[in-house]
Amino acid sequence: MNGSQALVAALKTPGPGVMFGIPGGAVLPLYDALAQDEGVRHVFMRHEQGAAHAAEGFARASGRTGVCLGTSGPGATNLMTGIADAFMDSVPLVALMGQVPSALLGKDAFQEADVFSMSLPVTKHAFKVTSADQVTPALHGAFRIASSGRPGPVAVELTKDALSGEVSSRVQPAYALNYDQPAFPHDDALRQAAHLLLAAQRPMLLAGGGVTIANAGAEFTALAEALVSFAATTITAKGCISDYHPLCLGQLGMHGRQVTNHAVANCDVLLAVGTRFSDRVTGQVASFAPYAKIIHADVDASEFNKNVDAFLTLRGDAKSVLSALLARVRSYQREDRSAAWRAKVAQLNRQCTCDIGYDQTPVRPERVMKELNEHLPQDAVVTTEVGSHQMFACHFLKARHPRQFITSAGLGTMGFGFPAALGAKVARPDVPVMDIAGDGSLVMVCQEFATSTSERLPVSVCLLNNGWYGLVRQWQKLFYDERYSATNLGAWPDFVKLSEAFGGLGQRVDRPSDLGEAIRTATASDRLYLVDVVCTPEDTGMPLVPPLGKNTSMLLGKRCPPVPAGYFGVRT
Amino acid sequence: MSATTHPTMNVTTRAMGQPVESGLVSVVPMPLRADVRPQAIPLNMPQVHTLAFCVRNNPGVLQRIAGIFCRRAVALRELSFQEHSDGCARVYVSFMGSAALRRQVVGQLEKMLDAVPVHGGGPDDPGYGNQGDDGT
Repeated sequence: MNGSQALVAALKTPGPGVMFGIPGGAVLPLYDALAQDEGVRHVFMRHEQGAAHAAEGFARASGRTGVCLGTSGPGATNLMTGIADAFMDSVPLVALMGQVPSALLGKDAFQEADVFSMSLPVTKHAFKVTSADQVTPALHGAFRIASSGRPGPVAVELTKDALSGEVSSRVQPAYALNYDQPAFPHDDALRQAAHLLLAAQRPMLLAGGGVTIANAGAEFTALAEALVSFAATTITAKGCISDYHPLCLGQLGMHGRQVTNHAVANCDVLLAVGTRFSDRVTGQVASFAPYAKIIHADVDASEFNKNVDAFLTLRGDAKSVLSALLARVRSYQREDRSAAWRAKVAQLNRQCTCDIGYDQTPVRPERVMKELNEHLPQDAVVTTEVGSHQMFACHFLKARHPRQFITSAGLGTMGFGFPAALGAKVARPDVPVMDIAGDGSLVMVCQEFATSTSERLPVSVCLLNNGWYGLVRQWQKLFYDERYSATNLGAWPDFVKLSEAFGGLGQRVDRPSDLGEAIRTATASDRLYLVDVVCTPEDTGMPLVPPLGKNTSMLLGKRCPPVPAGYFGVRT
Repeated sequence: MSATTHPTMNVTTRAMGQPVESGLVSVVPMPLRADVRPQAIPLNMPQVHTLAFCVRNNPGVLQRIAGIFCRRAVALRELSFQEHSDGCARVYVSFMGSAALRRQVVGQLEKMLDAVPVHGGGPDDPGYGNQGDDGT
């Protein structure tokens, strides 16, 4: 058995049996092994960044570890964006990177780059494999590290001779590393947390991506119901409590909802689970939940007190913390102390839920989201690119389940959505997958249309086409006196023709009344299908917290009700 | 009340006129002034911190340590790195920054998979010896 065959065996167990990659000189031995083994599905992408995002999409949709591969030098450097994206959103990913033969290391060989070193700042761990004997232990270690504790990407750099060399018969020991051990919060801390939540007059729950990762959406929803407490979700936790649930307030922060930001700013106890309190969530830190005792639950202890000081910390994965809290909360007699608060929040929630059935032409993005809510199948998986369309989707699209809404949150990677949709389709071939895209992002990855056709991965695209970098334009409009600098994309390309050029289908939609039919056609299509919706750039996502501003001082849209000072009657 | 992490990292804070603030194991002997309590130091006041810890001496481990400081735009004041017979290396690193920064850096260093949990070792190694939670 050579190193490549050992690698393929490891991809089957403990790996997922699927990889997304592109061949090249340094990884030829591996592709030779793949050709002789049917047990691993190799999805042939058209750009390594696409391969990394597709592996992320696979991981985010399924909860399993995604695998991507690039050859040495440029192949591996192209993977870096996706690796960094996975690092920011704690996605389990194993990135295999080719390397020149070990005898040539450091000699500026053809396609040599020190990609191991490049990957260090954006990976949970990285392995440098220079002999065939190290392949199996490195891969087993990589899969274990990627998926345990707080998940993350692991890079494995493999020299060509490690892939082609024979594995000796000796059993290789596992890498001795400080692997993540399961962590459970202390009983005292759990008891105190339960008491705080039950005694609260103005409780709030906040789910972060950790709840999605731990598959703890049901526990989170059950805790909200047991406490009868409103719950907010960050962008990576969308769907952890259904957006249709009466206790769900949706997203908070810079692009969040006004009611959510005000509720968090006025609560007296905030249970935050699996969130790192990103600057986009907190706004100005000093005025984030100023009256709240913050209970912070996270599997990664280094997140505690990093951005926001916690009153109480619970270390453990979201599922174990939430189940333990739920059991305790249910075991206590409960006196309802928060009814007045709930009534206030519910009233504001109703005021902030506006009708988005705009009827004008060009189509408004809000209307597209309304049509998607009505016409997308309930189990559909949606990915997004990054930009204003993403913010509209976060705000108005309704998710029912965790892992239904897949987006590049922390790194904000334009071009993420389409390859991620392909990866999600590999993980969930049974459900329709749609990429909600902007015209700026989609051209960054449109070469992957070819992957969709050639690999028979029929996904649909709902393109909000406004001819601009919409989110950047919005900021130039609001904060730079409407000096639009390098944000106008023009009317190119013709996306329907582009889809057709790659073997897909498509249609252009100008009128809101045609949207529903187009969406149904797209999701039912057995080929790549692109719906090119002509939108206007003037529709900006509102409300919005200005950069470094307070979450309660939002720039309001025309239809947003201003919240009167002292609405909640909270006194310091 | 806070969850205790694995005893990986030894932390010593050296500040002008300040006593040693020790984590699990005190490493570098410091002149003490009993009249100043460590908690009186504001979180944002820059001080010199010295950390001592053990890592597995894999290729790239020093780069990983350096990266934790680099991405926070922190320059190092002192660094020593010495491999021991068991393949582990003892690292001393000192830098200037706030206590909040030190807390971040320690959290990140403890997360490194190359870090070696200190379970107590040879009595003449100042980094070994005290094991487990000493209640500080």
